[in-house]
Amino acid sequence: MRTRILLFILPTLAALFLLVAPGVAADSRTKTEYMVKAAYLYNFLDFVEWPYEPVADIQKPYHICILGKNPFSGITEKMTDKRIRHRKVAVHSISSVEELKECHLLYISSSERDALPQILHALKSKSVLTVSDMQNFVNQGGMIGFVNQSGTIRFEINTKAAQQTGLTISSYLLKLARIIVTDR
Amino acid sequence: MGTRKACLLSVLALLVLFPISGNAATDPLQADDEAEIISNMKIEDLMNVVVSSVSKKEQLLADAPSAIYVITQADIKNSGVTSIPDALRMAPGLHVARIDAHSWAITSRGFNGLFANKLLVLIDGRSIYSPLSAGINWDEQDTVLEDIERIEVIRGPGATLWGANAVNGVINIITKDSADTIGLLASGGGGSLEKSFGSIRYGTSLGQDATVRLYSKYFNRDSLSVIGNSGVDGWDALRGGGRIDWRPTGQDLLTVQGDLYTGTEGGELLAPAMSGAGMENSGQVPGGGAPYSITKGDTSFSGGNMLLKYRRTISETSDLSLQLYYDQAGRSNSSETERSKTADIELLHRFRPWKQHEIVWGIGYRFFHNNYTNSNDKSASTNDYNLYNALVQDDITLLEDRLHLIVGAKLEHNDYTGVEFQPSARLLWTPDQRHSLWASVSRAVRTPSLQETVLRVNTGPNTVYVGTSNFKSEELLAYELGYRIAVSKTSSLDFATFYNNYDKLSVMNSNSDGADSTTQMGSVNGMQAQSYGLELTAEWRPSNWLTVVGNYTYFRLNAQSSVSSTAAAALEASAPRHQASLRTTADLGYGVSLNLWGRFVDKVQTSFSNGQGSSIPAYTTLDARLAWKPTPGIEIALVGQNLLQPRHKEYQSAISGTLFELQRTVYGKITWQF
Repeated sequence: MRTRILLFILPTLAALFLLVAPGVAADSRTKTEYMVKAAYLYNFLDFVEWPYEPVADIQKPYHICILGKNPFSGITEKMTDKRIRHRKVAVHSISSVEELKECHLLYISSSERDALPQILHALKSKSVLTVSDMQNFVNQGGMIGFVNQSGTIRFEINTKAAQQTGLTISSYLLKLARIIVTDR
Repeated sequence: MGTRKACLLSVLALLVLFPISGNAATDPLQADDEAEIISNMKIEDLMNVVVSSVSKKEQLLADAPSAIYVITQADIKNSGVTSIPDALRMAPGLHVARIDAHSWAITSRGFNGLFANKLLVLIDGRSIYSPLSAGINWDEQDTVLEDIERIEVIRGPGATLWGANAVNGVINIITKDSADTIGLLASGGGGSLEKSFGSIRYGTSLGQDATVRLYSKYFNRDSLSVIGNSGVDGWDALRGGGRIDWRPTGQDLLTVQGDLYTGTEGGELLAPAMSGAGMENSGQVPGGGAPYSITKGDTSFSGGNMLLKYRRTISETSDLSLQLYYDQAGRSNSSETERSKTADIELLHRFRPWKQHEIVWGIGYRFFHNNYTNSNDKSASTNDYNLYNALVQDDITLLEDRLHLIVGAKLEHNDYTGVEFQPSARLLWTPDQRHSLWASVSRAVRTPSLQETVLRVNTGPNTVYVGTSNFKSEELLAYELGYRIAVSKTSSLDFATFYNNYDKLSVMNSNSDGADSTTQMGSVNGMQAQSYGLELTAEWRPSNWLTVVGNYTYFRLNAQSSVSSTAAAALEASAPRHQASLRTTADLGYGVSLNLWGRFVDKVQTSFSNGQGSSIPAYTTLDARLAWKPTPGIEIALVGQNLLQPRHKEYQSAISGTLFELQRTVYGKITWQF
């Protein structure tokens, strides 16, 4: 009798929870992969020097901007307490390059694959570190591209692209990366 | 009767209550831990985190033309199980029955027993099936449970990719890559049955391309209760080992792992009764025919293994893997000593010679050596066993992304039955992202154990069990059908059904040789059986903090034997007709989570070759786990098991006929993670 009630109550309770609980938008498939990539973005800030950047101004936060479909939603919200060089990090979603104002790092989502040449052209005069996980990103002029190596996330760096906009990438980061220097 | 109806009703209720809106979420409790740990990692550590771009579980299920259920690490943690056999209770289609504190009878789709011989179990590719007894010593197999990535439970003949003896199913226990277990994890606790336990594991990177993990684990478990007596089956074990994963380039992965273990278990030992003396505890031997005495004694067991696996990704469509392992195990008690050694090498190549064909082929060799001595009758035997195998499988794309035909065969050569051929054909139809339908026909064999073919064992004065060299393999022709549907973004259903036709099944035959009145027993291929059933899994994740999973298993078997109609009747009654399980996991906020797991197992009849046996009644039970994470690195858990009844039986000891009972138990555990 006891057991009967219990076995019936559980799914009924579950149904009641459904009515009360809020829905959550989260895609389970690539959670870990984007957690790792998000952590990388924060780490990259630590190993890059931006020109014209007041060195000791810890009041001004770093800005990470995400262009296109945002794969980090639900992830970067959990990292708001992270500080790089004692500075806070603010994450923004933007839908076009024109909206880019103070971004230190721009993550270009693979949804923007077709518009990449135009995007990179618009950024030529700005000191923005471009990062993406779309195929062949660094070969097309992107600065840091994520690659999947036997199930782990590694990165490639196009040093020429970074130098051309005045960014200095620490030799420590360069040692860890697969480096590509292209003519683009 | 009432409980069975209730089970079916609750499963139906679950099906009816599926919502249509919302989004699927990953296991909420695990995702938070991961986010925490990963966000604090430095670049060098991030480079070693292994990610799967599609959840391995979803990928496995979506493309699998077989009845497969995946038990994830989150399932293992949330359910509060303390051993691999208990974790297997979460899968449909398996009958898991605890015989005593250190023994389990586990099988898929019928034929259960202490040495259920139709299930192949692999840990990271290493087979833990013992050819000596044609079964699995579950007491020797263990890991730090937190290091298990997932357990794949595949019901039905997995013969084509894994080898003979995967007749009714394959269980693949996969441990985590060492890159996923960086840091220190320590846990410990105690309780009423789990008297005390502790484990410690440390993982770190070795340079840029390699990671290593080392662990050590100890537990001490109390005996189960026995009707009228306290049990004698308590056990303890100490285990340690490690694993290195090295990725020198983007295409190569080398894994080396090993374990060492030692332990002692109490139990009932069989000693032939000397004339007159010691007859107080005598009785009929379930497997023999002459008086004997039961003594209580300890068996000590120890062993170790080493495994090396090399994987090379040649291109997007082709890869190669080479695996070698060595396994040594020994057991001894006051009357018997047994030592086994296994060495195995296996090569597997996957490539796509034409657009529509993905071919997998492989070759392998296994060597098994066993040494057995019995101090009661001064007998000793040594056996060597060689197994050669080759497999080929072609996954043919008939309609891109929609229809696949997978045909394959495995050829094996063993020392007793020669060449065995096991072909299979499977069809997989995925009309869209949400449904998949599969069907298969396969032939599988269960090759004879050393006991059935070669050994000669005295089970008492005037009784001897003799293996016969013309004992043939048991055969199965299996027809299966399955259907998976993502009912909504938050719920899914998975059905599997089958019809199995068995021939040349092993049955015990006894001949009385009039001349010196010795009873000679042996196994003959004298039974046929047909079985059919249904396995259903329903999963529902309505929100980020609630998960509900329900399983239902239905099984029927008919057997016929011209040698022993008792054996046929016994086989029919040995499997539960219905089994059901319902598990809910809820994240209650403030780091608190609650897991409730109810199970129902129908009645079974145990039976041994001399006709003795017991009726084990149906039981319903509930496990509950309450856990609290005051800070991200510490978790405190309180687990209650078998809560609904003060005690219940699940199976019977074949050695003595004792019925051990599982009691209501509780334990507490603290886990630290840095």
